[in-house]
Amino acid sequence: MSKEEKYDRQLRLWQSSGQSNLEHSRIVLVSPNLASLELMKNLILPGLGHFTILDSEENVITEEDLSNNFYITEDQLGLSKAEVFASNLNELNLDSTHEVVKIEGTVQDFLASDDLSDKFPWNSYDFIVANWQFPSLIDLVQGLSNTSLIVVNSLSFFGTLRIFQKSYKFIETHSEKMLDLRLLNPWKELTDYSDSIDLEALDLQEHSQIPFLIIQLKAMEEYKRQHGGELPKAYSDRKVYKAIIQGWKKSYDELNFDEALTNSNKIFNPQKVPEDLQKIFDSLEGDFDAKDKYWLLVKALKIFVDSNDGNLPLTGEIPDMDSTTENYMTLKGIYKDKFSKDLTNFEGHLQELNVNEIKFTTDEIVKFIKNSKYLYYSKLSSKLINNVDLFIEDFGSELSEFQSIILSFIMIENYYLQFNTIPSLTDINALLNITKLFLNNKIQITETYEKVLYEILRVEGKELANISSIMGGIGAQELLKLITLQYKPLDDFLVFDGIRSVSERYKIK
Amino acid sequence: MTRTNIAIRPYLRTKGKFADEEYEPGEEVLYALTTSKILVLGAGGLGCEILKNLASSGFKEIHVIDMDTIDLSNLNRQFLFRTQDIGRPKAEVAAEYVMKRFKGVNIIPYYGKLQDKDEAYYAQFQVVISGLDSIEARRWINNTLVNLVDPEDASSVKFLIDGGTEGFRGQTKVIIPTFTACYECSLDTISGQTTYPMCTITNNPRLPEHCIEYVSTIEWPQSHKDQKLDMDDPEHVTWLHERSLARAKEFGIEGITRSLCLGVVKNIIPAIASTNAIIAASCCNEAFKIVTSSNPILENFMMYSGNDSVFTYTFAYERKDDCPVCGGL
Ligand SMILES: [Zn+2]
Repeated sequence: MSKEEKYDRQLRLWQSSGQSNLEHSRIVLVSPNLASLELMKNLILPGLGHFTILDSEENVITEEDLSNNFYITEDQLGLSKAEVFASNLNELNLDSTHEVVKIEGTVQDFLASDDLSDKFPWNSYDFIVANWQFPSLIDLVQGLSNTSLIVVNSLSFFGTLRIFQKSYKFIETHSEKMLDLRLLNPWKELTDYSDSIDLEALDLQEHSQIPFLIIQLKAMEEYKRQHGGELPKAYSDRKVYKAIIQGWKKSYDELNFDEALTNSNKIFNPQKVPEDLQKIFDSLEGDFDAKDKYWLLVKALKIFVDSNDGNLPLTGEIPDMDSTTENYMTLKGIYKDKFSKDLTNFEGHLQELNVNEIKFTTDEIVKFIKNSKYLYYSKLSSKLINNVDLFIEDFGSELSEFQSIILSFIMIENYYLQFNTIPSLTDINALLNITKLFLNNKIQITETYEKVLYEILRVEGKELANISSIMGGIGAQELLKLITLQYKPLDDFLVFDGIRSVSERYKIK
Repeated sequence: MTRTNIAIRPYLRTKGKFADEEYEPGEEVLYALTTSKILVLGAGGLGCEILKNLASSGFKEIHVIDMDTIDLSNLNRQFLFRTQDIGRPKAEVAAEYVMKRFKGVNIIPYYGKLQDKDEAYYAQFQVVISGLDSIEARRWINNTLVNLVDPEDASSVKFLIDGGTEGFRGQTKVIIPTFTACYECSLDTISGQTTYPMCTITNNPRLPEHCIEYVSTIEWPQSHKDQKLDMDDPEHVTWLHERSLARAKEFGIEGITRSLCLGVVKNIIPAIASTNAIIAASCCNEAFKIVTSSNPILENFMMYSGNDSVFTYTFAYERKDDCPVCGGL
């Protein structure tokens, strides 16, 4: 059976490099709930390497599980949850492997133990997936160099997701690219080629097959000639520039001239270092690490930019445009040659920096250069939101809908971690009191908060299969991005409201 | 023993603070959930998820229609199918699997086209969830359900919940025929397949896609007469791949791969389990709220994007007065 064929629909998203990461990834799932089971299903199907389910030996399949959980059969009532879930999940795709670890006593007690880090080989996993923010687990992950924690929860019609990872260092963000075509500051080979073409001397057929980039370039030269070497700047200047192109058109149906006109505003897009990339450059000061590939590449890029008049390396790509194959290929060749030169320069800077002689493949460097304009870097917080000031810092001091969902989840989580049971409607006054204590008069409880809390408490801790599946789907998408190191992941907290089908993101400070 | 409703009951036994004022919780709501007939269109990536979710959230009377058979490339997300099921009808295998897993749920599969069924068939359902991958099939069911509406009879209004995904993106649309925007009203927001000008393909290819288009649309019919190009036949794909490579070489174009040939000719849309899970569950969440009235429903479109962080956009799409299907009704 061919893996390329089986995984074809996803390879089109993250290619074989992303797939290889996925197939080598290891996840431990702590005490599964419906949402985290759904999350795992969405990773096992595309071919996750390995998963381990860690749970208390006391946790067995109940009638309640039978009523909303798809990953069991009714004859499994009373059997160990960890074992049943692990084998039923693995059955979805035998390319994954699994392991079951059953612990004595409750999961809470296990996670609260002083020697937690010695009790399980946490650092042999890339990710821990859990459904409550166990403070000990968050502490633990801070001490592990390559293990991150994902917390996913679903109760009533609401859900939350949070990622605990030290930082994001992404190269392949799949951002919508605004190609740097260098028409405002062309290099010599491009200008030479453009100058070698005499538009007026061409017959109509040839004239209509000149790539629009050349038309734009020539019009730019003409504009500069007419305006003492100045580039068009103001909106009215650009109109003059466009009029030059319009004036050169020999026939109404010259598509290449139409393309030159419709794409003329793009020329003026700022092509140099975008704001997000500048921030990454600024982070070099504090975060540079000569043993880290990402930082070596970023620093080499910064040096390249500084020594190239602020320009990033050219990617060698040009858009498709109406033209003969020959004209297009000649132009493309000029861009590719420039890319190769930039690549060589970049490699020189990298080599100088790379004092530890870390091995880079050409593919790695090319990939970095082609994506260098849209790199992504972020540092994440490991803060536990355990007092009102911290809550206000991240979510503000108004308890509207999203804040109410978040606060309700925090209160219920605190209650659960303390009493090992999820409160129901009979506990609403207790929960309101806990909330008042937490808010410490700095935030007033709103009607919205009471409504949301009521909505959660009335379902007695039962998960709604649909909401858990949504949260598991979102969690899996985020994990896929973290594993393949492609696209841009959530940074770092999400709340979902399934009544209105809306969501909001927050960055925890 | 069969599966109970223990986990679903609390949602319907009490009334939440966001529910409609007139809503009365209780046994009748649970009865409505277990007896209401729901139709699922498509048993593919979305369909498998939808069937699982409906069974897991208390629905008992489900019909499913799908005209396809199972293919190897389905298995990365269509989790009700296994290698040994390849070649069998999706609707039948999916129904068997879910009924075996979830005793007490009744799923009636139909292996065939939507168009095989008449109005009387569609009239028996309260909700139709569509996990179709074709725009034409969606337009057909939309048109059919709008035509069913009898202004004198509230039960003739069938809710249509439409899900769609592409890569990390997807959308859920809740359509109440003649009351909210229908599928046709929103048609101009849907982008079609990329096409290339004929003179580019024949005279001035510049991209690998141009070469593949030439070989599949011009060279193949020339050399194979009446035989149709079948991209599920590995020999056909090999021929196309080799000819495309040759044409690309002739023009100095790089980047032809077998995978690209398949992608261009079959118009393959990337698909992953997690996006299907999000959108299918969102559709089923709306179906649950519609049938139980336990909470207000989505008004009326939700877009999801996971390419850049997580982003949802929920908005009321307006009906079009000049809609060729529901305009003026
Ligand atoms: Zn309409």
